[in-house]
Amino acid sequence: MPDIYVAGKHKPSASVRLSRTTEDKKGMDKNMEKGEGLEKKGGKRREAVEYSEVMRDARQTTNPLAAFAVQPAVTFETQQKEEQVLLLLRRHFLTNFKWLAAWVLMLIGPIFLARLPFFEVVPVRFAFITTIAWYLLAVGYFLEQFLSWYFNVYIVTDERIIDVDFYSLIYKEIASTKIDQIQDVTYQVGGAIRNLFNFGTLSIQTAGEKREFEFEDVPQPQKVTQFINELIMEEEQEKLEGRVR
Amino acid sequence: MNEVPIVRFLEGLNIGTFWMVIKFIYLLGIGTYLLFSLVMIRQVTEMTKTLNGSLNLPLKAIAWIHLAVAIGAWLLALMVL
Repeated sequence: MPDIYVAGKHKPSASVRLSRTTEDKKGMDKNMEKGEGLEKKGGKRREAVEYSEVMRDARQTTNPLAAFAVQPAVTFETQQKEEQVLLLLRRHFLTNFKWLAAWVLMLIGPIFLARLPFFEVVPVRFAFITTIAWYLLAVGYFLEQFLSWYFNVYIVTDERIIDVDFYSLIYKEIASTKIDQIQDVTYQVGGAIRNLFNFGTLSIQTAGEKREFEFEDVPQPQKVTQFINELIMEEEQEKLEGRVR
Repeated sequence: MNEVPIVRFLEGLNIGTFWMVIKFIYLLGIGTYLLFSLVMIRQVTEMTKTLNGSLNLPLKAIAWIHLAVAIGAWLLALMVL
């Protein structure tokens, strides 16, 4: 049984004390109603570093382009007031290789195509506008692909896991499930590239409406799995000790 | 003898008219891209509203600059071609 509380060290704030006594009186004795018992029973929610080895070993990520970001400085649309983003995941940067290669070809393409005899009959003004239009298209292609990679994220908070998907220009889907609804977490790393660069796909089975969440091609999938398992255990511990929000 | 309209058109077509048609196609194409740029503004706004991070402001600025460049390209095509 982990030593969760040291008397006097973790004093819940007055507002927390009030919310505990008004919302969850079942199983609490008179001392807890006064707020004193909360210190003994562990009424305050623990920080992630207290129960998670993954969080203890990691430093806060400041790089906004990171695909594996620990406690990033981001907020999201459906975030609740006291909910904390602990992990933000994206597809590994290497998954962008194909479109980046296509984009580089788009950039250097006009240099070679201009040498073709066909373009000698085209007036200069048309060739000029064609080049501008081509590079404009290249910029648009890059922006679209980058936005798709940057904003399609998987978020793990202290309460939920969230899957944010933007399928096209105007269609988005945000799916979330509470940590205590998670039934199974498995990951797979297949292929030489994925093994070499340590990224893979997590499958999370839940008891919620959406039965399965897939975190595709995320970095360090074994660490993500370990962290989610730690969160599940912490949720169970909170329920046992009456620290549920 | 009655000529088929397409034959009359082809006989009347000269090189200047041909490039006018090509100019119209260019303006149509760049105009379509301009609409795409407008949609991208909307997309970036929606995305930054969903996920609020440190790159939100630069991305919004890039989207607006992209739109301005698309408008500039369309106007340039109108004047130059």
